[in-house]
Amino acid sequence: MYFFFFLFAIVGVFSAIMVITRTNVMHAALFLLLTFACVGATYVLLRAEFLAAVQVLVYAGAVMVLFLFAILLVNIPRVMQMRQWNAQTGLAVGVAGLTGLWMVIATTQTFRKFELPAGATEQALGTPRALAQVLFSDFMLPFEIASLVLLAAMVGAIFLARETASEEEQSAPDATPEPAGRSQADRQLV
Amino acid sequence: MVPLPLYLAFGALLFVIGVVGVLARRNAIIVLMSIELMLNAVNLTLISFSHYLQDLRGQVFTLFVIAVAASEAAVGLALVISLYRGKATFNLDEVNLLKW
Repeated sequence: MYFFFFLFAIVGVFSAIMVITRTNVMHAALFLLLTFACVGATYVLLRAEFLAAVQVLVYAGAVMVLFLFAILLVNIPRVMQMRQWNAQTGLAVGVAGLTGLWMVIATTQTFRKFELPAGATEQALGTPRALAQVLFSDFMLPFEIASLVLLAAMVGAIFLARETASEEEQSAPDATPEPAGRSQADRQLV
Repeated sequence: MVPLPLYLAFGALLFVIGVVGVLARRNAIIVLMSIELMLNAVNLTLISFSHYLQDLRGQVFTLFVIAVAASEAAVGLALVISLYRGKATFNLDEVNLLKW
């Protein structure tokens, strides 16, 4: 158990560091995939098998595909030439390091003697049945609201990423003369 | 049995790495990836507390966090794409319209 935990933790933290230090966005995305996989494996160690499956499906599947689609639009050589870190990098690392040190000390000191209830280690808590029973009874309203959030996000993403009217006008001169001829034909039809 | 503080330390480290990425990188896509890292760290903490308290509500919260993270990724990347259309850049330092 310890072996697997440290394996996943060390690989996960290493690949997370690689994510934020890579210059090439594609390499960062692949290391992010490795981090997601390590976190999902840690969910299995915590007996949350359903959420591990969701982690792989949603993060390693859907979110990663979104990132790869966005990266396809990047001119990677040009992005690699620009300066990668902004002016407040030293301050950011200092603040984040102090925050992390404080969090690690606080959690390890506070929960040092925290133990599981007797006999609870072997039973799987997060089975789909148990999770669904809680989700569809106590958390019914948040569940419905989550569907609204997803709908709003979908509409918003389509709205933001669509081609606007002015861009269509700009790109019109590049187009072949065929659309103009067709519009004339349409006019004759009318 | 791995004690709880180790899981919490793992989550804290992932979160801190995400904070550094958000605060210090100039590439918008890397910043979005760092936000996903931070959300993953929060999920890990929620699930480890859920396991050690033997309470399923932490896992339900994690499901909601995953739903919000997925929509956040979709909207964020749509914003990045529309930023690229408007200013032809992924550099967040060049997006300073609201700066004094």
